[in-house]
Amino acid sequence: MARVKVVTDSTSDLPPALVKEWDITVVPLLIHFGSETYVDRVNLSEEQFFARLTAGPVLPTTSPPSVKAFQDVYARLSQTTDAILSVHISSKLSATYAAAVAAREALTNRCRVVIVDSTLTSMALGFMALNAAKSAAAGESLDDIAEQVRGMIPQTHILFFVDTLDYLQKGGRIGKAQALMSNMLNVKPLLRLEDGEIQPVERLRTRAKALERLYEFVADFPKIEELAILYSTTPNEANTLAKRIDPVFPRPRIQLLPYGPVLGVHVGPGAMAVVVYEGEEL
Amino acid sequence: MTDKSPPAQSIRVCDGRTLRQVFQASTVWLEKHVALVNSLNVYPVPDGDTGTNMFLTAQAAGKELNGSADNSASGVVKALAHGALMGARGNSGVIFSQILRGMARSLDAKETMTAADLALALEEGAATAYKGVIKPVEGTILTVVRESAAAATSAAKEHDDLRYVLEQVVSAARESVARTPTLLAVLREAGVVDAGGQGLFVLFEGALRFLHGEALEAAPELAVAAGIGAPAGGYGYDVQFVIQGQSLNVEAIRAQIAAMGESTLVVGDDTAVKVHVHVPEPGPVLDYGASLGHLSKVTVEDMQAQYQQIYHAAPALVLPQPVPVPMPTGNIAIVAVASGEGLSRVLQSLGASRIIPGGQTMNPATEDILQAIEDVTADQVIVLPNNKNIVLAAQQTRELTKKQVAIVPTHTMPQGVAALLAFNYGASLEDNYQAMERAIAHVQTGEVTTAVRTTHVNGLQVQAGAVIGLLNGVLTATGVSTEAVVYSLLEQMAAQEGEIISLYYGQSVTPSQAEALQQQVKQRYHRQEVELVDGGQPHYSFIISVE
Repeated sequence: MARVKVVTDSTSDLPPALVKEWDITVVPLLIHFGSETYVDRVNLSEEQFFARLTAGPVLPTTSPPSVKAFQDVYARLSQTTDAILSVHISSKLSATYAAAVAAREALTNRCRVVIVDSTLTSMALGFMALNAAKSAAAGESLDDIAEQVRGMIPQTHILFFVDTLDYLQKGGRIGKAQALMSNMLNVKPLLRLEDGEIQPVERLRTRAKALERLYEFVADFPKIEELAILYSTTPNEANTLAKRIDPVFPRPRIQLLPYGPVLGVHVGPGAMAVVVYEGEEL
Repeated sequence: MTDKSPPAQSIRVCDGRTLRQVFQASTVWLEKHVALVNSLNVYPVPDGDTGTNMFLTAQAAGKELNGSADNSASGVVKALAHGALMGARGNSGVIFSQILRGMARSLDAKETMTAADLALALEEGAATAYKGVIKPVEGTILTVVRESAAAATSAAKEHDDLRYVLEQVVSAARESVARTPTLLAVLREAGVVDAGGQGLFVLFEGALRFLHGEALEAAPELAVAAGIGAPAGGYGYDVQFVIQGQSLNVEAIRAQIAAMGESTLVVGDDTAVKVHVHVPEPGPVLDYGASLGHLSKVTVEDMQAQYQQIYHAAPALVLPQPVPVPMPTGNIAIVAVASGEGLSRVLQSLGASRIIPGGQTMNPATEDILQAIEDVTADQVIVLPNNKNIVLAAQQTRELTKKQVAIVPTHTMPQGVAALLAFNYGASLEDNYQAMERAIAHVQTGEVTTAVRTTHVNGLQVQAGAVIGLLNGVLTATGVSTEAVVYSLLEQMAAQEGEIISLYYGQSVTPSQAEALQQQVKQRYHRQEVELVDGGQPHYSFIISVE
């Protein structure tokens, strides 16, 4: 029996080295600046994107991969395998999952594709894809891997803050976090992903307090299996946070990564996140 | 010590009718001294309004008498106590209402009042006032009422003449007021006596003057600016009445009245219920009331006419337009006191569902705060007084409503903002209260205004007309220019260690002046974000916070 192949999307923020090492296929989302279209992290890097986002007057938008893009990926992979695990960004935040499901319908050969709605994104999704790929490399079955990935959902958490809620609002992803809006004062909203949606946690006035909350959130877990810190324009803050977390979770094991352009469109520059995977439920 | 009155003229008992006149005389006498009492503020800030607050509280107490036919001593003082409780403004007003409340309890069921009764009533009034304050401070109205009561007690043992007892009370109150600076350092340094204590002394003195037969004429009513607002749903009739009956169900009446109109206030017990409601037509609500019992104190006013009259009379009072705020429909509502359109909008944008106008211009009465609490649909309400002098009046509402009410003791607008930011609609009332209390503990507030008189305070020589700065309510800076005082406050607030400097500019400052100052502050504090907000507050050119 052939090895299970793992597919995810570019919102997973997985670093290229890991993608290559574990043979993961990443389907890119698209970014549009007016009439110009870019393929996430293929012909638009984080650096290029944030430079353009903060400089330009044009507010970018995003779109999910086409059904065709998924069809092509599944068709290509099905030449060497008969089992694909495809795990994606929360279906409440993006139509990526829907595109994957539609693509599977069109698949004509006997290859099985299990598509999982992670209900999360960024490295929370990344850790799921990574674990799935490791299990696949160990020769585990598609059903076992799918069960493991679904089991990770309640054990994986994202807490983040944004510099301003403007981007979430303009991108239509604000959801219940609307309650944290203030059009009069500058606030740093602390948010989390829960049930696939962005949920409000707290309004803070300063980045210092927001960073403190990220630290406290991490320090409160009795057990952490994987940890990531996501940043964009503030690598120094991310480094400082990693140093602070070191006694709780060793710094060399922390994935310190920039979040990608697609998330950048929706959270704007200057946001920061911590992603915690607690490990399997005891 | 004073000349003793001949026995023929001594007053051994006082009935309710006389008590009414005595109280009215006291109120008129206080009104004549409002400006004097106001001038006794420790800081020369333009919003020292102890005299106004006490007078308005006394006036509200007196109005309650108009609607009560009970002429027993007990009945009169009870009505006064209830009126004062609802109308209490400012800390001194609240304490005054508590004194009356204690007196009413002591005089319970008494047809008339003797000298001994008066002494006991004052003792009970003093005790009640002390209990109503979390941390009683000596050298205030509390000391004055306690020492006055002690004088009444010893005088009543010597003599059964009420006039003699009251003479002793007045002289003890005068001396007690004079001693307040020896008990309270801030008074000593500012060279003033305690304003609330002085107000109480004036009330006693007015009573004594009446007993001495000195005529006092009533002055026209002082206009009350707070609490005037156009109803959200347009104009109609402002209807008030009292239902008297048996086994009245306050809850059921409140629910029914609320369904019939807006801005509903229904308070009372099983024998008497006070209703205040805004309705499109007065008929149905009056019919409903009459079906439950006997109606009294019925007033019906056309709000359109009323509003226009008030609005045109006081053009400065422009009410904030409600900002549509997408607040989640939790079961906790927040009501906040604010003066200034901009500050009201800031608080609304952060989730306050009701703004009670007032604060630095006019302290809202307990009744105004109660009204806001009853108006919101939630059963749990958090109140943010946003002014040190409103905290007690807000706390009084807790026993007047069936709703669960938590008062977060915010003393300044930036504290109110911090409290709102800490609100978590997913958490319980208790948890929110604690989170808000924690949040306000670290807030530093700077306030810039103009000195209304020359004084010496906190080691600073302050000239009338000079710009002064208060840090967390304490006068710590003075200078010739607003800029200099703002810089001094920012330095004291360690602004260089903060991240965000917020400048709320008042109604006396133009947007271009405010922007110019923002630019200057930015140059000094280039690592900080300098946020400028149109607060529109009266009296204070700038309110500053550093976070």
